[in-house]
Amino acid sequence: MTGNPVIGTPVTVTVRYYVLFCIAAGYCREEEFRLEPEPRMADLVEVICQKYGDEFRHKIFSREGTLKSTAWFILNGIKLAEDPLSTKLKNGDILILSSPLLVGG
Amino acid sequence: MDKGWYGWAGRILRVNLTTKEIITEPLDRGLARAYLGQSGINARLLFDLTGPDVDPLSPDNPLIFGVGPLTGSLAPCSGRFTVTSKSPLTGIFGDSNCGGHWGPELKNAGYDHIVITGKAEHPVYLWINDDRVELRDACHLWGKTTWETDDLIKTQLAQPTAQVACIGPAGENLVRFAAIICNLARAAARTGVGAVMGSKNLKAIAVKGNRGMAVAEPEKFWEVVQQSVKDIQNDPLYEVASTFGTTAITGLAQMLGFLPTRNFQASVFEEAENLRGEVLLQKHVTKHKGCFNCPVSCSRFYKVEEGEYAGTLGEGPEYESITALGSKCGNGDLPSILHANTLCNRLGLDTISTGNVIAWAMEAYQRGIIKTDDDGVNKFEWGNHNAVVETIYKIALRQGLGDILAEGALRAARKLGGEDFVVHSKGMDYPAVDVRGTKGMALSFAVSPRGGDHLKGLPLYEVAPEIYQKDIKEEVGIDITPAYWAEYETKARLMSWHENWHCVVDSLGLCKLEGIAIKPLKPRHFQQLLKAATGWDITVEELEKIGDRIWNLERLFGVREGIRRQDDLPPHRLYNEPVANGPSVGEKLDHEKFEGMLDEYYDLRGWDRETGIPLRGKMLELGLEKDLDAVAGSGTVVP
Repeated sequence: MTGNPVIGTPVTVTVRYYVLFCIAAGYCREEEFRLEPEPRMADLVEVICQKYGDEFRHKIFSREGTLKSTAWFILNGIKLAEDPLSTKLKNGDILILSSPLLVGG
Repeated sequence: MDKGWYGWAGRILRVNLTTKEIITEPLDRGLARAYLGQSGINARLLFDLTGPDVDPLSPDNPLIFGVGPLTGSLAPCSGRFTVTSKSPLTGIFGDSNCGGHWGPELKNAGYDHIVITGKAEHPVYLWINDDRVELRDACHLWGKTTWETDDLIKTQLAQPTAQVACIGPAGENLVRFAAIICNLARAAARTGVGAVMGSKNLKAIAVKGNRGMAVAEPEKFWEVVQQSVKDIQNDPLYEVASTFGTTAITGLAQMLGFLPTRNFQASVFEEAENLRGEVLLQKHVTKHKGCFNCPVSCSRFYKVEEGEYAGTLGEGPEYESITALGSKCGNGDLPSILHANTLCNRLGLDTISTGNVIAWAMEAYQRGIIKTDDDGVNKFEWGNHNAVVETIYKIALRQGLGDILAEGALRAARKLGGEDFVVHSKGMDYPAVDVRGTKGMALSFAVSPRGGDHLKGLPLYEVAPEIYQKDIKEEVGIDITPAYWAEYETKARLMSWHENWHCVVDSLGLCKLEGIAIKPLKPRHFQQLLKAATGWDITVEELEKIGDRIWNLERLFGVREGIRRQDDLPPHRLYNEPVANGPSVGEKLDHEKFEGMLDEYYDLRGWDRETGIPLRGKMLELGLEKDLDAVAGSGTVVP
């Protein structure tokens, strides 16, 4: 288990990395984060970005700090369409971070 | 290039293998104006040269190679060529588009199309070196793999930089889904054009060109090229495409629940984690690789370092191949998939149809239709990768059960039983999307003129609306929502628009990876590139109309062969069986809604709702009325 130590009831979230996020996370495909109580997606993203640095941050945010359309947040199987960073997280959530797909071949 | 031609080389090469006659003739300007080039002109030539009485594997079936006016130019992703013929797999219109470097070399040699007819007395290959064109003996090459053939021809010609398009043993043995391979791994594979080549005793076409090509407005062309490259490189999906190619899809297809598994019995695969593009990249990719003049370089060289398949080398595989030889067969062993992919390339097989027919055989085994294989050993269990590899050999060499499977899944099922679980349209096996959740793709695959197919019309925006929303609104005028992929509404319009532009891109000589889905290259890019290259004063609207004309001509070809509305319905399994697991669990195509979507599609296309036959008014609009008359003259009752 990684992430910041917390006080109070921890919320544990599993994060799965796909496509460019997998590479930016050093080919890590899945890990758990323990977060402070009542976390939002933005808190989790900040923890992950701190862990993996600017390369990871730049996969999620533009230079102007806005969320990129190529950052997919899929929470418990549901793709978050609007304002994913404000989404509240709960214990046991599973988040997939992925780039969009490209079909062909 | 021929005098006065810009973009096009201005010449068609006709080779009659029976008489050994080789003729070069000028490209007709009216033909180019009406059909652009490559797949468009190929379709026109095929329509005129064949008919319902022509057996695809007979000498009467022409095999037509074509490049577009932008093939071999500085336009990005301009390495494409198309091979067109009546398909031995489906018996209807067949073509297959291919990348690599062979197409640009043909253009450099001064040809837009090669029309091959007849049948050689013994194996031959065609050697094209600018104006010098000759048939050479290929008896010593017969039986060789595509890799051996490529090497032997270059050595024999002392032309290490010649480009070779050839068949392997599968094409020689008339496997109905045999491929033509160039650059060892680029395949014109779908619809079995390799078998047509084999039926003509034509082992290869080697090309070396030194004539170059001209563009009408060099400075303007260069300006548009630079802008197009910038737009490709600034596209939000560029990094994914250049890092993973299509292999990024594997994990995502699993996540979203459209990964075909065990012959489409499920759409989530329990071993999909092993097949992800990330695993391929980390463990096996040695280097990225691009086709001619490509700023993306989506392909990859791979190597298997250890285990049962150690020593395997190859290029790719695409998402389609990983899935066909992997999850569709219940196979989660990535090294075996890489090995199988290499085998298909060396033996000259379409990986999609190969994987599908093996998956069908595994389900036939599951259901007791196939009890043992020809060696008397039970081995068609799901996930048995040794069986996958061994069956590929047997199909290519037509040994034992492989001889039946070499006929394709539909023919095998008609012989052995199990037709309900052949996942196909018009006789061609489905690509790697379980379309029960994606309604536009369901329509696209069902109505494609060459059968179950993702490359004639593929609405990517269905599954990534947030990426394409703005462009779809601007270009097509449709509002798409996050739940768009599950909807039936507006898909007909989206599809018909998309199909027209597919025809344009395939006829210009560009790669659809960069022009397939509005982004990054848009209709205005194609219009500007074509205008500057050829000097044509052409509008976006005229270009789309050409695409519409090509699509309708391909439809007419099918109609002449007996294709009707019932052939535009999805396969039994996807129409009648709900998804067994994953995010799309319980989903299936709704009959009434699909038929409604098809009605709307026919209306937009100008086709008769009852029969699916194009109506005279539409044909008049596109200048195809004489072709409709010809179809009527061949015995079809036209509405």
